[in-house]
Amino acid sequence: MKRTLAALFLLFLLFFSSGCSRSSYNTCAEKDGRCYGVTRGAFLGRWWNYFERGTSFADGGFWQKAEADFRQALGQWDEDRRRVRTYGRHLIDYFPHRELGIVLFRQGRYPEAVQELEASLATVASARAHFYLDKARQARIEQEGLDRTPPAIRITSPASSEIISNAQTLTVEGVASDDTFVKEIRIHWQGDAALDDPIFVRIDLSEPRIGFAEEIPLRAGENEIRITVRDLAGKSSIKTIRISGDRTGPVLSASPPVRRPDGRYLLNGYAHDPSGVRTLTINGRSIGKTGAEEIAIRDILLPSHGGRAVIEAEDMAGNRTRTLVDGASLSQMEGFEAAPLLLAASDGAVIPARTRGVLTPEKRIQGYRESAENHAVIIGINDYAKWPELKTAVNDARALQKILTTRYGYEEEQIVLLTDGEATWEKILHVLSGAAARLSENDNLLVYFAGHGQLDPLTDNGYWIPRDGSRNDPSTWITNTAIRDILTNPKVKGKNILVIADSCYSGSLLRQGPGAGVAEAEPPGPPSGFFSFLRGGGSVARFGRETTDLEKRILELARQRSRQVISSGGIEPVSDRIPGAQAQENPEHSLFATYLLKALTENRLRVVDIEYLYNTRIWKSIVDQGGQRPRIGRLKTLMDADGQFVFVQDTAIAAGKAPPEKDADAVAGNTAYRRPQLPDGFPLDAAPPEIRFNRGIDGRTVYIEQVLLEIDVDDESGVQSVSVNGRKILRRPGRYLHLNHLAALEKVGENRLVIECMDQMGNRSRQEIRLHRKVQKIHETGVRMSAVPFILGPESAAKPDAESSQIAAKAYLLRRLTQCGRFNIIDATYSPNSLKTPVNSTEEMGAAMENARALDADFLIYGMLLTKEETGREAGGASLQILIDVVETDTGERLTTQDVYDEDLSLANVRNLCRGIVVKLRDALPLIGGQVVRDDGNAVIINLGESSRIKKGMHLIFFEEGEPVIDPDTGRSLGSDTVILGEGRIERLLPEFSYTKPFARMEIPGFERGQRLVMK
Amino acid sequence: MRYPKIKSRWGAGLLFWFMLTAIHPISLCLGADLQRIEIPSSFNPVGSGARALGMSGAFIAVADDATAASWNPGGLIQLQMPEISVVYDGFHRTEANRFVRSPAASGDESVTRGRINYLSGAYPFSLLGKDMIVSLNYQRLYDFTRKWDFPLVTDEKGLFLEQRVDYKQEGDLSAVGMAWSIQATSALSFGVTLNLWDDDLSPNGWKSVTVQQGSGRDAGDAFNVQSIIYDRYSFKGMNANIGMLWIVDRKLTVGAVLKTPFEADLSHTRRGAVSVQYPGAPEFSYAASENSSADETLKMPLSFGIGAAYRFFHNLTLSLDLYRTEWDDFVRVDAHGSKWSPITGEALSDADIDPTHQIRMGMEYLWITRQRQIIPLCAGFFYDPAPAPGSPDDIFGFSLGSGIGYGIFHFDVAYQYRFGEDMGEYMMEAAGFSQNLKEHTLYASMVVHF
Repeated sequence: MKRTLAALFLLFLLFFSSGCSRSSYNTCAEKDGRCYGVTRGAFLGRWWNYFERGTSFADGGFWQKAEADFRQALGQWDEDRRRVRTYGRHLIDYFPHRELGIVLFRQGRYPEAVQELEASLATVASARAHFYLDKARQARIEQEGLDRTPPAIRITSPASSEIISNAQTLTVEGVASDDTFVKEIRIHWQGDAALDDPIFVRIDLSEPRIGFAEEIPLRAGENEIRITVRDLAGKSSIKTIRISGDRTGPVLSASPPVRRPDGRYLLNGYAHDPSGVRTLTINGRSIGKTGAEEIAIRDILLPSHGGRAVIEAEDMAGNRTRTLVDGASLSQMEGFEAAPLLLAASDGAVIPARTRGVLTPEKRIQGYRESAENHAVIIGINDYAKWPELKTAVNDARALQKILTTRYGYEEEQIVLLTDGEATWEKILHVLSGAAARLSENDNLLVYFAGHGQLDPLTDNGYWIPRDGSRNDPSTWITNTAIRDILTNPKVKGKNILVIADSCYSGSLLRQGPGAGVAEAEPPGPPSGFFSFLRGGGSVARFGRETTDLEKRILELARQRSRQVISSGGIEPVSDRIPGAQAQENPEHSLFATYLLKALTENRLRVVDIEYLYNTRIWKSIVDQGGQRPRIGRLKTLMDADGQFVFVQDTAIAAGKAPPEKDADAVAGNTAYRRPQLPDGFPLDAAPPEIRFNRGIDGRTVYIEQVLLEIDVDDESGVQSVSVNGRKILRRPGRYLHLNHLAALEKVGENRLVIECMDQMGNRSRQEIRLHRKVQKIHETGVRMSAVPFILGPESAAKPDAESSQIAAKAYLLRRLTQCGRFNIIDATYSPNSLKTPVNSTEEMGAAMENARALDADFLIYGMLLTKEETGREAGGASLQILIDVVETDTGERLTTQDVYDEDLSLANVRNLCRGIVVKLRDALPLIGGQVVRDDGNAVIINLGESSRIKKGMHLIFFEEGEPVIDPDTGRSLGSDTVILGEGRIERLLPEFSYTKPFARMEIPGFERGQRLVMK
Repeated sequence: MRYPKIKSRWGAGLLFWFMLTAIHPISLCLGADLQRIEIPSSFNPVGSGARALGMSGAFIAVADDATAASWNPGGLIQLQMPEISVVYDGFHRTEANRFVRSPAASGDESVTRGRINYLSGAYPFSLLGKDMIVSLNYQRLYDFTRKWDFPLVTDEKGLFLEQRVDYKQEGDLSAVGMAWSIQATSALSFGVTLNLWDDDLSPNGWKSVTVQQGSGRDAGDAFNVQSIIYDRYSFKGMNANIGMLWIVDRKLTVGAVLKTPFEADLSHTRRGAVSVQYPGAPEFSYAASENSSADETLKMPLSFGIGAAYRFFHNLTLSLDLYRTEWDDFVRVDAHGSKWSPITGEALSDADIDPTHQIRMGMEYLWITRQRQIIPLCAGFFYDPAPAPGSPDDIFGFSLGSGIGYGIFHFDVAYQYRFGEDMGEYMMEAAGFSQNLKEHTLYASMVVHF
């Protein structure tokens, strides 16, 4: 008997050690030296045997055999399913419909393939089925030419494609539809995130109509959100939304109220916001038309207000600014001009006759020359950094410089010529103020500007555009106000100052602007009144007086102060060239410059005042060309005593002799910019802007991502720019400004907010504030779902590109998991272990679970990178499937399983796959908040259930808000920390609520109804 | 007053009685037949494995794991990959004995025991174009554990005897088997297990020890009596289990198994000693001893069963088994060629034993978690009658089972409860004997898939 048993045992051992022997039904189909159509165990004709063998045939590209096997399997068990028992305790993932669909797709039988793949997805979703169903649909669409139109995009929110918002984020909602299937929806936004990292709306499977809702971060300034939708056939559509991220409240500019004789106060100023001022109230009373970009404040305050006014404004984005102005400080401002500024009538009657030109004796001329120095600042800009190039401005400037030096006795060193790159905002202002500062009592200054000009359509304020001026930021332009401030300042002692502006909208210099005045005199069209007398027969001889008398009278006028302005046009664009045929004759100068230079060149009078020259030689010649109407006028200031800017010509030249040639190099040398040496007391406004803001928050700890800065800025000459951390927040210069700005605290930890201001004279001031931003405890990384990733890859890659993709995917996947904000990755080292088959993965998972528990992690992120060689593709290749389980370490509860699949193993696509799987994980494990419904001691019922997409096994935090941090200046909350009261675990899920088991509970009697909670 | 004659007659009678009837306590009680074989466990051992027994042993048509050889070797072919298994069981059996005519002897007798129940390894392969599988198995089928300790009072014809009886029996019958199964068609497979019952290979024997101590009065004279009897049986035989599995469709399978009858060699060894002391009449005191051995034959009966399993879902299976065992062919042949019924101890011709029919019904539900863990839930009930004269004694039972499967490891536990009432009357009919049975058994098994 023993011998019998021993023989039996040996026989058994012989079988056991004889190695794997394939089933007799495993008929090996060879291809490329490999055997297909085999099963791992005996083939018993069961459905799982057919499925396994069919899969093997498909791997070898034996489509028909694979199809036959899959159909046999379906004949026995026709439902795709994961984790199906075969025999005993053996499980497989059984996808006969899906694999049959793929085999049919490979055979070009697309309608059948679609049918099978849809049947698979009807019972269980898999990324592989999604992938191939899309491919089959796409092939069918191309084969049958079903796609005719590109996809349509309908945005339901925001309602308009151009909106203004002060929010940090914007939810873009809409629906993409197509006559076939929508395959991809991408949302790019031009913000801090680069355009190459768009949001991909999660689309597992293409659909004819897909809704989307994505939250897009907004930055201050212009934001462009571009929604791109692509259909299966490759057609795409784009829709763009432009959002003006406006986090700055309206600028309030208001001078202290001026007391009037009747005891009431006059309040002057304006409210300005680029997005429009929605509301404006003064002492609670609404004024002004809402919606305008700027609303003027001209209000009479009752004596009962005591000269105090609370001004509040809200812009269209919802930002608010509030300020208090007080007439108590008015004693310093008694000189403030409260009455409306007077404009000179445009008819010549108001212009004194003594202002017109006459001739003087030579002696007087000599005396005048010796007593006065002539200075000039000549600016010409062709080459703009951000504006269209001009053709003639530099030539005009140089020609004027030449005429002045050769004909009118201007010394070269007394002319500053700024062209192109030299004519920056800063240099122009410095040269201008420097030149003005150097003027002595009898000196004259001519300022000439040829370049672009701009007009503020709401305020009618004009600007000169310096070479470095931006297209749409007025703070980079030179305001008429600044020019006027310089030239009309009482400290400027010069006798006669003339500004000639040859630029678009240059006539605005002659119009009333805030806080300044001009007297405009535009010659009427036909000669009449004084002009008819003056111009009469077109010659001074017609005056019937001696020329010397006229020169004498003109020189008398020249000894009286004047502040005059000539503009090449009115409030309209002007021509850079001479229109029509004349352009051929003299293409190098603008229309205005042509006649200005011509007038100066052809002038034969020894002494001529600018108004005479303008009226007789310039105005009509230009007006006759049509369209452009030059203007002349005076700056309304005490510094103007109705004098005249006078040109005195060399006697020889006046007698008809040619002017001596100037050395070209000397002329060129004058173009160099020389920074003026300013005397004491200059610049005119030496004080930098004064900045006041809610400094009480300096050094505070806050729990919010943005803080409201309430900034007041004052400056005598006007505030040109205000910026916070380099971002300009002032669009509209002014003297007394009140600004509200939501400043982003971009990082956790210390944030520096630097407020920088500059006035129109270039004086700068700077203030800094430091805020320590903390994250609420419930949002700290340490309280996120602590997880250990464990990513397995295949034993060996099917293809080299699959191997490299797998390496890239591992690293990128880990990075994405770390950065996605849902996990506290406590050990990002991944196992290099190989993965032989998915079935055996349970062993690796056991080891991974042990490792995760040892690291005290709440969860294990168990991932598998499954690559497989895909035969039958046109170019051959491999596929990559990323399969991730999130498993609770304590209980082994699997919270979610997600996968993605693709056969494009390019690095970019592998990254997309990693992004996709992380998006799926975040969707499956939502970070949402809720409230306690009831606390039974052992179980806490919360108001989140299956409908909230939470999962059994998820952890949550019970918390309450701490004491808020208050801004001592504004009284606004700067956020509050949270107090964690305990943690819990979702134990039982119901549709609308769930039972949780609390743990790590603080010593409190119990959670109260309404207690807040958030998923970890 | 003395009665030497009587003493002499009863003294010799006592010696004889002790020497010949001390095979087992029931015999002690009534001087019943010596040819009985006590099998306290089920008379109808089926297969092994906590999973199968959690389904109450309705496993003929399932038989799809490494324990299949013990249930239906025809089902072994279902194993596509090698598997091994080990099964451990532990039981607690209580026999509530009732002696109508000797109430002092009534009471609960219980035993508790645990040991390896089953070991197996199965390996599938292909040979000559056929899929087949071999399996090596060890299975313990019968358990002889019994322990009785009771007082016994005899008062008959001037002889009064009050004694304490201490009886212990233990041992097993087990088989080492080599199974082989072949796929005949895609739907039909066959298998056979060759079982070796050999005490030299695996436990196949049992032994009992009976100690009696007492005192009494013989015709008015006091006496003391003491005896010890040791019996040892060794069992050797070979039989085959032949099985078939028919996969009717994707849900229904039908199986059948036949366990062949066989003749086993039964080697019986006895050692015994007895002494009777009359303190008041030493001349009547005496002592005797015995050493003997005998080779006998035990004919084991034919048994066959049929089962069906229906898979409602991939993870829910219901199964039903029916068994018939020809207990009327269960025969003990002594060294002289005389045939006895091991059940009643009577001459075979006098025994009125009928075949028994078992009914076993069970279900298995697999809860498959998303992490691919398998948590089975098994349950079932059964009717497992014990052969008895006239009609079988009814024994019923139910079982519950669960476990966890993770990766290649599958651990199962099952609890089984057997119970019967008013059984065994035939054993000591004159004493008004009957017993109730309560048996709790816990099975634990581990199956490893490769």
